[in-house]
Amino acid sequence: MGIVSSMGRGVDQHSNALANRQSGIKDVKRVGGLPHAYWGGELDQSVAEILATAGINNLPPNLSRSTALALSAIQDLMSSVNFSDGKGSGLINATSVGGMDTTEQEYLTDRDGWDYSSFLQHNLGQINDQILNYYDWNLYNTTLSTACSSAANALMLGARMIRSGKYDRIIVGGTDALSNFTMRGFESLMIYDRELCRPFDDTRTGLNLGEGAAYVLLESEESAAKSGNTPLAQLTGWANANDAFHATASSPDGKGAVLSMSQALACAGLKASDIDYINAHGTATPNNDLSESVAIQQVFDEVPPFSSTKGFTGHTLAAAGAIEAVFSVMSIRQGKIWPNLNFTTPLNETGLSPQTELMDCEVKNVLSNSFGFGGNNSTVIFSAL
Amino acid sequence: MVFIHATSAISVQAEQNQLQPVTFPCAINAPNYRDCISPANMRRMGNAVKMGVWSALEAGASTDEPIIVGSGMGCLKDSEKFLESLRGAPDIVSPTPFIQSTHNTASGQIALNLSNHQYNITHVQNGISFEVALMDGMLWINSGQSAVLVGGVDEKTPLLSEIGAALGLSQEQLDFFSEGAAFAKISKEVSECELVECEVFANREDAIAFAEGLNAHMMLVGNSGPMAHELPSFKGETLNFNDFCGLHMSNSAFALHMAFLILTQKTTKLGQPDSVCIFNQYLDRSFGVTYCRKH
Repeated sequence: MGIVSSMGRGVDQHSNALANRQSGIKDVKRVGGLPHAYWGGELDQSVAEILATAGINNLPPNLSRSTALALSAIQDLMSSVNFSDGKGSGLINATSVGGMDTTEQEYLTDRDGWDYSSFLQHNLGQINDQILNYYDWNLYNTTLSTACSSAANALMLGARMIRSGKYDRIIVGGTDALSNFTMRGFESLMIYDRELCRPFDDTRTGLNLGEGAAYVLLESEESAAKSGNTPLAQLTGWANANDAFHATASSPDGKGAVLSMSQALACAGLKASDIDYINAHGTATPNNDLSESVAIQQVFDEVPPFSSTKGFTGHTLAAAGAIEAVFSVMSIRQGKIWPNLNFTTPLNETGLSPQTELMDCEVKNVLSNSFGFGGNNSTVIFSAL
Repeated sequence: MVFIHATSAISVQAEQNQLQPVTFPCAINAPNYRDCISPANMRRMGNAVKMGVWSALEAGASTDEPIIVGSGMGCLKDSEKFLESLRGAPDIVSPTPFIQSTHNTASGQIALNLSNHQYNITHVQNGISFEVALMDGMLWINSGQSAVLVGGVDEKTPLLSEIGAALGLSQEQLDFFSEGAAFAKISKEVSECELVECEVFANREDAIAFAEGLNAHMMLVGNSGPMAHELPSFKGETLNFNDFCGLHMSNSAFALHMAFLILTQKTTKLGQPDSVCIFNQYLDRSFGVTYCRKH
């Protein structure tokens, strides 16, 4: 597993920050052209510094921030696994911001002075092209973009491709940088909280965005036996179902979320009561947290401990499902349930309270939700070996 | 085995079935979207979304099949519109172009139009976005799903041409810039056109060797990115699909539509091959090879 976010770089830094309630959300400094102060999960490094910290040299200086974050997380992953390209190998990335940070830096300046080459980083698929170029990899690769559920869908596609037998080892994950575009976008929807975000709290008014990237190596059993990599957990369940209710909002009855959680449980061959921890999507928007809570109550007769880790990272959009996949596997490996920050009052409608203190217990199965614009609802389930 | 049951396209072609080479620049032949999209739904849709929804419905999208879309650039026009509104950091901006700018807007709107709760995904891998989407669809069929809707959609904007010109593309290349949508309904049920292979490659020699090994009667070759590298030449009859649909990042979806019309003889003037191989080149970085034959 490889991970970078406003909380740090690598599994150990994230584990310590989660256990010690150290959020990465702070006053955003590096995004230009904003009209006022914003809270966000910002990594306090420039693109050059992100790459240098990861020991990556000799790349052009105009790389997008999402690309730099992706390379940093993949470099972290590569330091702990044996991975080779070629037949049977793949890379499935997820992003929604892509090179928007480089695009907007140029676009929002005086048009007469534009350096048009900045726009070459814009496309979402450019990140994979840069990764393949840096590692000199020749392999199947694609990029998925389904807004905030993108990385969960990358995990699901990777699992399906390995199960088909055509692929043995696929790196899956996602990356997204903070950008003026997305921060102002969520603010225009009136769901960017001017205070710290409060997932599952009755007083919540919206999210804080964050940035980061995370990747995991999915391998078949045969491939792991050959590569010598030590398996950390199993990806046992996955599902993607469309809410088909509204372009941006979730349905009040959480239909898509109920479908994705139920189908993922069926895929894993597990009962709802087998789940020890739900790493919720929990963006802290009024709509998501209510819809997700209602859906959880429909799927689980007895709701297991659940929390949203968005209070630590901010909502990292297309990277969220990957960052939370790493948190889910860490939960299983370390026997810990991560706290939900900034919670005081349960939702009036459901009365559900998330886990607010770090809890030590045996964790065998973790269910992780990621929901996005376009009615996209995805759930993945991780199980102990 | 995977079969193609229907295809549809919005493109520069004047007629739905009788395809012919086009002189560029050429605008797309837009259908009357109101025939199948309600005015209330259409009001906020950008061009890419309208093209995608229309084309998906035309190919027979239904409520119970996965929807898989490939798009190299997504909803460019709304992305530009939202960026433009951010100039000077005003306090209030409209959320509509932001909502519409998301890359999965088309796939989401198709599902919303049909109340489709199935798998819904958008692949965005530059010029091979459609091929990776098609591979995802074939994987569904090969793992038991009965039918899947797969398509590609991309739109053009004046800024795209402005960037192309500033970065040194010739006027002839800029003239080829186009847009469009094309969808295919694929299924495990037998039809007269079998979809045998779809693979992507990061290496030119691997892609050419794979395409040659298929020994197709007809080759459809073309670029999905700037025409900076020569297309390989193959044995047998070869058509350049750029001559029929222009240049955009998911134009190989149109090439599959073209292959289907040729193999099922709905278009009659382009030969009568028993098999067609599509070779799609994106710069010198990514390649897609898709192979269909009569069944």
